[in-house]
Amino acid sequence: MVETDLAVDAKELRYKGIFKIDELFKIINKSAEARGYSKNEKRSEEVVTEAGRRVFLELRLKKEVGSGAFLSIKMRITLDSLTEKIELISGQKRNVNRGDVLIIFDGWLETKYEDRYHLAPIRFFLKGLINKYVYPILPEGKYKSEVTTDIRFIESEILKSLKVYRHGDEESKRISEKIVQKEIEDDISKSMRHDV
Amino acid sequence: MGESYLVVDNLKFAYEGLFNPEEIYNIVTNLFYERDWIWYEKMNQEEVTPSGRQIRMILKPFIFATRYYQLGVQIRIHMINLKEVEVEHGGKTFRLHHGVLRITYSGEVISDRKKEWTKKPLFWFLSIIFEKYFFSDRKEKYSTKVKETIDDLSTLIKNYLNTYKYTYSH
Repeated sequence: MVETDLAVDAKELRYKGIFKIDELFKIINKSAEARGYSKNEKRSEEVVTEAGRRVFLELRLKKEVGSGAFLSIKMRITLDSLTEKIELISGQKRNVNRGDVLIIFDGWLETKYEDRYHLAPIRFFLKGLINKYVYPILPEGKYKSEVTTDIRFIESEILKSLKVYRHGDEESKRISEKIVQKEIEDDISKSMRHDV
Repeated sequence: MGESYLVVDNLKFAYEGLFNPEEIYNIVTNLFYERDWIWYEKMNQEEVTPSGRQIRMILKPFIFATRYYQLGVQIRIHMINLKEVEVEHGGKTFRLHHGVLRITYSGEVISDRKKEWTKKPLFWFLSIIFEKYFFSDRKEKYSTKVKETIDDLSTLIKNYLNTYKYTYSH
């Protein structure tokens, strides 16, 4: 039995347009590895309809941060109305996917402190009291902020890769990397304000 | 019986569209026969209803990895509302089925398969100590083997259905 503490609750990332599904998975893998998470596929579903495919994928990312403490990220990826198309990107014809992307992130701090000394009722009460009103002496708070930062990192990496496609067509070829970076920063600051 | 370590915990896959149930079954059986696993079909049930055929299977192949360890995989296949349809592709007519396919995979590593080390408390204690501190790499090795087998099977089925595949490597 583990104690779970929810740090990020159903944070959504939405995108509509062209992207490449393999590259999306690559980016998720790379960013998760960069933050030291192990990957685990939990569920995958696919429905084939005339309008396109509907793909659902649930990933569980896990990282050990201390003795008996783990950070866990649940990613629910839904790709709706997915079709394959040939598009002109940066002057080159490329086979891409078009559809709606919805990624929902949940971040958890999991601890296996069962039967340890500080779970005795009086110690647990005092720990909570000191942690809340005096000073956050225990690392739980730090771990919770770490999982939030990790989710933001993964989210920004995904957004960065998706926005390359959005601005990669002929019309907006002149939009530089700086503008894309600025948009991502704006998105992140907006979401931070929302979290606060 | 010794300890049973769950390696893959209910990995789920679902698909709705056209497929051939016999081919799905063949993919699963072929993989395990090729790798010399012992085939055990716990349940194979078919029901014909007005909304289509409902097929439910529980397959539990296993292999004796060593005298001490046994590896086991459980595959639960559920085919819902299967209807026969004819599809024209490239001037040819194919007879396929349309319906929902749900597969759940679980994998485990079982230690002390011959129940030799659970007869006396001292033996049991020694077996746990040896497993934990001296031969922990073996358990890891067999856990990886079970994971790989399930991953290969899942990839084969996804390839057959031509679905988008998530891979751990990049």
